[in-house]
Amino acid sequence: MNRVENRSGGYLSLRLLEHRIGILGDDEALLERLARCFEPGTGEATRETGDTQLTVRLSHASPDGSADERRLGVTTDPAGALDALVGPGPRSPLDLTRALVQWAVDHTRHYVFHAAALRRDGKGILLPADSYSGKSTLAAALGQRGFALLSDEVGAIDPRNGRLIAFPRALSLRRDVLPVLGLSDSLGASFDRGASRMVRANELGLERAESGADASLIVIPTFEAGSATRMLRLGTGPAVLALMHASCSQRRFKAAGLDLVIDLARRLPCYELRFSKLWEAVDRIETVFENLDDRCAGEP
Amino acid sequence: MTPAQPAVSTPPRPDRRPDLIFREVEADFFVYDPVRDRVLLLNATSALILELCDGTRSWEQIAAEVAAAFKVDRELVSKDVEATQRQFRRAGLLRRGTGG
Repeated sequence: MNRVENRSGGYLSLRLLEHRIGILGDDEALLERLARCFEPGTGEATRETGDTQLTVRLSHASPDGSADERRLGVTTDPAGALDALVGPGPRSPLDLTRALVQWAVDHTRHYVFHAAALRRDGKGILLPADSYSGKSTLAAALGQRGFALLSDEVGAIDPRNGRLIAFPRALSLRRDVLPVLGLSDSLGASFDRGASRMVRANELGLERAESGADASLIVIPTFEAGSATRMLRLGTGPAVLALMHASCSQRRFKAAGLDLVIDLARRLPCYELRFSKLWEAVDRIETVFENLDDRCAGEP
Repeated sequence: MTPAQPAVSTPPRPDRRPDLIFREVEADFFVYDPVRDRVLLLNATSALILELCDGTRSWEQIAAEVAAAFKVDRELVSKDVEATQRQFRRAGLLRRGTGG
């Protein structure tokens, strides 16, 4: 479990994919801010021999100002683990969250897409897309339709069995999206001068999936202001290209990664979705999901 | 003093990079470039041309083999091969200095 303990200072324990990350700091308020960027759950991945443990020690680089304005000095064990991700110098809690997520993605044995992922009835949907394509919003809206959230950003697949794995970062939602979901725009925690909010699944009334799901459907969303809702089935070639575009792991996986992506593209129905009306898009995804051929799901 | 002889130029013999990763799936041909971290989707003609770029054939010889393989006019194929040559060069698929 993520937790902030009050010992001689504070301690936050995170499980990101197969990694255990311990964060120690002398300011409990800052640790609480950091903890707000993650779900209380830890996901289903289990630690295995050889997995990396990262310890982060925080100190104040500039002690004045509010908890957000105060900048963090960061040292890690192993040393320098996060330096390349955010550059040298002090960081904010949100900077550190991004760096921790990137570190976990860079060091996992799972194949990761920049994607939202959800599950229902044991079947998983992967929504790979660039930033600002609407995948977090779609993930939250699908969550309101009874899908359990695996992640709004890190679509991780276990290459051994094709299962989607939960990633317990809180959802990052634009503040102006929350009313569209029928929610208060003050929900969650505010960072970056309030343009976006980190919101935990339970604050949105969503179920957070602790166990994974068999990848069963791929939908590549693009929000396009004013466009009609269009959902187009992709052939294997375009599907592979789209998945590769969203890949965070291909550089490390090389031939094995290409084979995994081709297998996903051949085995699973893959759609391109253009939308401007959120609930129309959700309806379309739900209809496709409900009509999935069960033979599509399951192990490769 | 002997006058300088004009240099005898041999036609380039394009040679695809050895680190490229190929996969053929149904009618699709994928090439993954691990340096640029990019995957390309080739049609059957381009895939055959890339396969023939093994450092032993000139572009002319490749065009002849492609024309024979697809049983099409050599003139038409030559234009396709020229276009593909430019495409491969832009994509960096050939070993440096071998593509002409």
